[in-house]
Amino acid sequence: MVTPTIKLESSEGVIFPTEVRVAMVSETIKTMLDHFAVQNDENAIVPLHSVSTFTLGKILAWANHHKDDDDQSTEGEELKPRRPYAISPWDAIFLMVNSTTLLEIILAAKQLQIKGLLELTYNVVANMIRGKTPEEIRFIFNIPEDVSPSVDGELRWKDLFLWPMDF
Amino acid sequence: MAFISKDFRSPGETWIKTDGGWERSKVLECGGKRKRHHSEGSSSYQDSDSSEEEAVMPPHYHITIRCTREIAGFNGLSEAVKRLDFRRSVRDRKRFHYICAFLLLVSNKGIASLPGSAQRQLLQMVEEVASHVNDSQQHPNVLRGLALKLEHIVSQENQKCWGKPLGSTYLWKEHMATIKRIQRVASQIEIREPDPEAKPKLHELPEECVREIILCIADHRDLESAAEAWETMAKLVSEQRIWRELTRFHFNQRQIHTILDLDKFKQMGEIKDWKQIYHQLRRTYGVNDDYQFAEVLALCRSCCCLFWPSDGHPCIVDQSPDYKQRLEEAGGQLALAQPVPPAQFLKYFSL
Repeated sequence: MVTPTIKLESSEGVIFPTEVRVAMVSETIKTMLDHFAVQNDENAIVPLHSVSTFTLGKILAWANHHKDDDDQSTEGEELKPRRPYAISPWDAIFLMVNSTTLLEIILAAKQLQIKGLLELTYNVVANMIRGKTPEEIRFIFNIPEDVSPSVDGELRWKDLFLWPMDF
Repeated sequence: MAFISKDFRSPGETWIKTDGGWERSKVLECGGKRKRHHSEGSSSYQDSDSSEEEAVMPPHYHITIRCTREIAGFNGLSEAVKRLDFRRSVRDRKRFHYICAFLLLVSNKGIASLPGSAQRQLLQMVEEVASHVNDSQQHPNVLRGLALKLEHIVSQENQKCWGKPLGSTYLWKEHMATIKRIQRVASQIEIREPDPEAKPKLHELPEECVREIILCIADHRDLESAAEAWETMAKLVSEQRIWRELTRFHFNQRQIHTILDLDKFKQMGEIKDWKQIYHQLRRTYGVNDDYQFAEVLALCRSCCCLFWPSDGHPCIVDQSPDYKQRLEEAGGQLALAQPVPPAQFLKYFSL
């Protein structure tokens, strides 16, 4: 039996033939498929013009790995775990990317409404913030900040990082 | 004539020559000859030669918790550190904070009181931290703190014995060289300025995304650091929901109600300042610091084995005849592993 596939198009026009089951991990694509009934049409292309080729490739790799996962979504904020949950070794390796790529994945996952990937990436960003000084947070996430000059001239960027924390 | 047989009380010891000298290789009678299959999903074991087994066996260390007549309660820190692969774990994002906390605790207690091999191991780990910080461009303040601690230890040791450290001259010469290398790395770290062209940036994320990220942070100090980093984060951190969730994560209903009753509040809805309530609860009950580590060492209760939860360990509990019975009594769920924070880990070595 042939598995049904659809074509997803990235912002650069690259087409990804994808199993319907994998694509349905995204609520946005699922709604599209239900609304327009394109899964029976082999030539139908779903345009995702705000998602780059690299990011779409990463997201589809994640979706393919997690396609058989049970949907464990919990309604309401009461059950939301604050503590970062244990990230699986596969996910940890998958998200070994720089902060720019990670934020791109968050934006794409938000647009495509992939709840599992969003929760995972939020936890990874929270882990990156953990134990860091405000200056380090600004540095890692490219947050512009006018560094005020110190008493003896201009404070260099690296001086902010080499000052020890209170241990 | 005495009956000569295998001593049932001891698993026996074998010694292997390595680059760093002779190392003890503890062979477990029950689990020594077992090997995990290479297939990812399988957890069964099969017999094989020990060289293959060593390559596949996840890092773990058997410790003695209680002393008996037969077993002397001695655990070697250097052996534990080596067997649990601490040095390589420094580069693991999930274990970095745990190992740094462990190194800080050890250096606070003073490394001079440790055996020579343990001293060497710990300094090699700090050197690995220095190398990792230099490569990853993250946590230079942690490295700086460790370097200052080492400097303080050296100055303390030099006052002990007529301006020289107490102990092996050769060993301390080696230590001094390692400490100098660590300090050189700490002072030479070049933090590259962020690329102004790189997109997207954190401050370009939608507000609801940033709020969700904040909700995953479980330490008030991290929330305050994030708030200082940029305006939007500060605005979100000041929201009552953030502090309410943080309070509910750390404290149970009874503790919260105790504070509310003290403040003459009867209902949670009447609370206006959850941040104040959180800090009041924190001062009253304290908060558990274990959550700050993404991965914590675990102790298997059945085989007294320390291991990293993400790697697992070769447990022999399933061979125990009463295990199934205990499992049924517990309703199919038996908590066999307990987390071991850095302070608890050091207690196993009488530190």
